[in-house]
Amino acid sequence: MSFECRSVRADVGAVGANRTVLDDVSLDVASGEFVSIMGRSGVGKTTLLRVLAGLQEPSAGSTVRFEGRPVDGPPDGVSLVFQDYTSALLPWRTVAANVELPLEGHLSKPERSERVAATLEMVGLADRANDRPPQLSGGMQQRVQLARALASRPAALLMDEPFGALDALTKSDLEDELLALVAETSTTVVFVTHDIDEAVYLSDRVVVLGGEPAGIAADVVVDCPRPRTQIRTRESAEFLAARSRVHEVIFGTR
Amino acid sequence: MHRSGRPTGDSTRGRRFEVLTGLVPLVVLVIVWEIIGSPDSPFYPAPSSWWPALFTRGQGEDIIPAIIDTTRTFSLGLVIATIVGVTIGIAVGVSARTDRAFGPMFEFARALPPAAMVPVATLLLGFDEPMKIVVVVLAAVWPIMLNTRTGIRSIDPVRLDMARSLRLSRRRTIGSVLLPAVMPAVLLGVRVATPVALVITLLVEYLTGVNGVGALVGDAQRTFQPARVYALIVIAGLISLVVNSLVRSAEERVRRRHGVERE
Repeated sequence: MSFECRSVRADVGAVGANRTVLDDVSLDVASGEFVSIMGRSGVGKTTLLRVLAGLQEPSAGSTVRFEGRPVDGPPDGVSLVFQDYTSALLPWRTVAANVELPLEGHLSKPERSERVAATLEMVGLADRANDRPPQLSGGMQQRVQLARALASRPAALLMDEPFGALDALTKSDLEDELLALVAETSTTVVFVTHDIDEAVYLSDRVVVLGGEPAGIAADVVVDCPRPRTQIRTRESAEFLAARSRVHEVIFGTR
Repeated sequence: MHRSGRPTGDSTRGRRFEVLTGLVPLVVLVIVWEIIGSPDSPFYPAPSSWWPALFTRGQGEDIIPAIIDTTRTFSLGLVIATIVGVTIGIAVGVSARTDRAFGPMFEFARALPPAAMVPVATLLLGFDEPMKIVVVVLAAVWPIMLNTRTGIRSIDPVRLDMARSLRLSRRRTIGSVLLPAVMPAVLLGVRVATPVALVITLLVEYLTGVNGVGALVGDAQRTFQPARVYALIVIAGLISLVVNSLVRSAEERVRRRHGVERE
């Protein structure tokens, strides 16, 4: 089991003025599984992801484990990808040096260069290694962030609306690249998004948060076979069934 | 819309022309001064008499060592102020508790006029170079410290989350993320602190008579050599011009590296 959450409760806001956003969330993510977290904006998707990432401590009584070990601080083997690539990447470092950042102090210089080159090759940015992030398009910068996340060969990727700021065409490209990379490296993914189609297309399961404070409103299994393709998969009966189910949970039957 | 963008050669020539236009008032002032002033005036000796006045009565030998002294005090003061200012700025920038603990003390120290520190500094450290440097640091450290603090606070929280989630060590977080991120703010602080440091260097030298161009100015003033005073002031101005342009070009380089120039 990759992530295990038992009756997780979490607050946001300053001490004294806080608000409980998550209550009694129990969720298991198996190794190699692709799980999306959905829900209306402000429902606590990002909070749940931050709890899994060890960036936010859940309230007392909550249990969060990654590969059997309790999460207290960012766990080894988990990488996070942010929506805001401008802040997540360091503009004063080259693309290669950005990808190298998590490896510094862990690998020798030649090992690092080799790993960086291999990872940039995986995301198709080998020829942009010496550019700085601001010189790249949004889609490319998000690829750099993905490369940096994958460079440390993580067991799990946590992604917070990673394609939310990209145009539709770039987004669909990156979805397929992500699926290919994840299949190749058998990485576990927890993916926060507000796009139902994207969630269903990518995931083995779509977990919908709802209520205030939020709990798990539905856990929808997506039965589409892999590898998935933008046209075939989106036409299939399984895709449409899962899509309608998620839609119903979020909006009600209307 | 007409698309005939000016070729770059033209626009640099245009900018150079603008710089020259900016010099016109100064040139006019000097010319007028030259015409109405006389070499013997006790208040406004003509500019043509300034340069020779540097070398009268064998005083020419003092000039170069004085410039070296002033430049050294000023640059050492500025470097130390930068190191101290950045260190304190980061410490109070990352921790609200440190900020609350030391804030009032810094506010008090910042409000003290540097000139008022001179008697204390001479008492504690004597009439010597370390005394000069300490006073310069006390004056120049504040803009650097405050800009660093603001710079640290304005780092996007995503960037700090990124550093944590990559499990960077504390040292690596400061060295690879925080310091580079605050560099533009630090250099802005240094640019503000540069003239302050130079003014205070000259002031301390003038007040205490310990070496440097400021001490020579005081000396020339007390011995009724107005032309020499003006000549030394011009030298001080030139030092300031050179240093300012150095700091400015460093700032420009860092801003470009940060991709800030697109603003």
